[in-house]
Amino acid sequence: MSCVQEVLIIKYGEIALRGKNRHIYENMLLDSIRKNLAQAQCGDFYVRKEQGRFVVEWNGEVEFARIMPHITCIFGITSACIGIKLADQSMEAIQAAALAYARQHCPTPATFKVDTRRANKQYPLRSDEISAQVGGFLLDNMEGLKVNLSAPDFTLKIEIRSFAYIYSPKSEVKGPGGLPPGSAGKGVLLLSGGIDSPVAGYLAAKRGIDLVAAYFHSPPYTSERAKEKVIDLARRLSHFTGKIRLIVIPFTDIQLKLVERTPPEKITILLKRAMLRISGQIAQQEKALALITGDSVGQVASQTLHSLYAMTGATEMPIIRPLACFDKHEIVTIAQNIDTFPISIRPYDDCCTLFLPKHPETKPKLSIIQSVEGNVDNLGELIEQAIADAEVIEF
Amino acid sequence: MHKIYLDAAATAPPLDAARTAAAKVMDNFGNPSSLHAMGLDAEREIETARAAVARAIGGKNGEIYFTSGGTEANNMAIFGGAKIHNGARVITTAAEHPSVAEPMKEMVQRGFEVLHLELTQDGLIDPSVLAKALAVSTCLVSIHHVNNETGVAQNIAVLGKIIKDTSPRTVFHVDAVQSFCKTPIDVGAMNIDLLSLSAHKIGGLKGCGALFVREKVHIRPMFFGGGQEGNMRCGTENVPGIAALGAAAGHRIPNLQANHTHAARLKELFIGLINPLDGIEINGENASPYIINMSVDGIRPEVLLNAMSACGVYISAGAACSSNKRQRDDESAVLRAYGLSRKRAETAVRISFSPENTTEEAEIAAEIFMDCVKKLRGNKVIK
Repeated sequence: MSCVQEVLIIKYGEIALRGKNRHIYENMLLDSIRKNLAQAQCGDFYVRKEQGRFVVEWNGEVEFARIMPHITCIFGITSACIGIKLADQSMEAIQAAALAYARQHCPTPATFKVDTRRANKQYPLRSDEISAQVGGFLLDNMEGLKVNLSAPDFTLKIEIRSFAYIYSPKSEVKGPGGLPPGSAGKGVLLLSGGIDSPVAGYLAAKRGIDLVAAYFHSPPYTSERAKEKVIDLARRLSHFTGKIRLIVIPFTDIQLKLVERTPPEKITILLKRAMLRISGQIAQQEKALALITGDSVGQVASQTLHSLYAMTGATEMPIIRPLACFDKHEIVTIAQNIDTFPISIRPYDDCCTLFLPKHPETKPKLSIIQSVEGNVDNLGELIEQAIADAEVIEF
Repeated sequence: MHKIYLDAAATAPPLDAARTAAAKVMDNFGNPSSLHAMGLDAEREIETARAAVARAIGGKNGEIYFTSGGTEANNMAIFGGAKIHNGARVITTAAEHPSVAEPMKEMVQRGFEVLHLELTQDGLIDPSVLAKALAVSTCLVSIHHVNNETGVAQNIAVLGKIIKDTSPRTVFHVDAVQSFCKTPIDVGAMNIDLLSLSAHKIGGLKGCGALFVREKVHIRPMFFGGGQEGNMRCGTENVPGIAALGAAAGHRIPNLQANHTHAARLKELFIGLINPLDGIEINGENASPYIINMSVDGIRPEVLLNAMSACGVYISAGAACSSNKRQRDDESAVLRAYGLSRKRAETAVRISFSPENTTEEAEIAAEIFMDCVKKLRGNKVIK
């Protein structure tokens, strides 16, 4: 039986649909898998590329239960499961292994089917012939089985590739999907201490965007604890992205200047424009290609469509708003799933809440906003200074 | 940057005597319940500390039960001391620390009638109001000695006498966490039945406190187990914490009067120096010299706190214990209970001294306070 081996079969979704650049994405995913396995000290492993699959095999004993979470958190992976690899692809070997596998994984009585996929077209039998023969063999050798092709209790998958593999879809653990970390390039996430922005960051990272997070700190109006909260959020996001750069921008002077020069109902819009402007400049420094915000249309005054329109011209960078059309409860659900929620609800104010006017404008006019902004003298200098004084924290 | 710590009411810097006492027990680490020589040594440490604490409040050694701190002592006093057959009424005030106020909410759930005495604008209890409240049979009165936010000191001796004269069966509990070793306490003369105290407010370690329980008063324990602390508080004793508490109390009591005078000087100095500022109101007449509570018009307390923290001066907004509670409006429940305006309650900061603070520190801190207030008032912030 030495040619029969337990392996981890990893499936990836969208990447398989790529054209000639597919191997680039596959290699990125491969790197992430190798990195996570190495970090988790998962022993002496080898990752084999099969068409549309990665197969991880080990030299020696493996604790699959411990390894699984390190794999199923990687963006780009749709599922992972434990399966059997056969070096000997003869029908006798496949039938014997299938019987052993079914005895172990299929509690009887049950209905079943065998589903074969033949990537190796050199194999002498067609897929349906293999399924029929193995199915017949199982029926003959195992009590309590009945065939049901449309809705079986148990499906036995056989894949004929450079080796033969056997597994059951039941033991598949779902992955997050998306694209491999960093495969899309870099983006600057405007990270506040709230619920939304970390979720926006997560969704952007899921599409392969490497994150640089920008946080605007306004001491003494925002406390050290508010900053600590953002640091904890960034650290939490780094679990998904592998790494993250957090840039803490001193914002007090800009904020006070704007508060002094702006009618109260317009202050939030002007503060946001300043943040976008600074983030845009940071994006250029960091060679990033987009900004990411947690805006959700209509959630608060500064997120009405009018208000979002009033951001026009604050930056040349494209702004990605992953949550634009999400309801609050949908955002909260994701925040809970990715464990940023308990950090986000700590009670420390961020710089916006402390300067919140009683009646913020919900339908600001771009032209007026621009002219108010234009009248704030040396805003550009203050922004340069803030960027120069920024603190960088790496995770 | 020189650090000036003015938040001793939250926790005080540990005294050298306390550190030494705790460190000694690290070498002498036996379990006080063990029968061998090392166990006996540990037991002796505890009994020495017990005697020091008893002496500090005029109680007997056997009346001191060590706990995990002030919160546990308060919980033990309220849930263990209130017995429904002595009357369903429990009397307290609306200006108590959360470790009394929250158990009181639970007492309501358990069927007690909790009566909150009205306070004057100075934060004091009118003795006649207490006397009137005692007309209904009352099982427990729980009143703080020195208020943790304002430093206002109740006249415990007068209140204790009223309770003993009008309703001798009523158990009188005093939360003395802020007054222990700072203001003279005599449990006999003050007619106190139960008294809570905490180690880290006087230069001991965190995680240790005690409840004084008068000899003839019986309360139900909260923890059951190995019979420690005369079966009143089971669980292996926190020997380092207890040893440090004993050492700290032993160090504080002989200097109580001198420290009191010194704190009064610091308070007077600080208030005098910031006098030129407008819009400052001191909250609580007749307050402990260790605490200054004041409302600073036009500035959010946590902003002032952050600004001073950045300059190396550490103060508190309202009370440190409540700053991690999730309440949107930051007003002080204590100041509201005094009948002060919402604005005044929302803008209160607390400065609290330990005897180790120097006059120089008070001077520098006052200067930084003035600078921060002026600077922040200059910034036009939407309120």
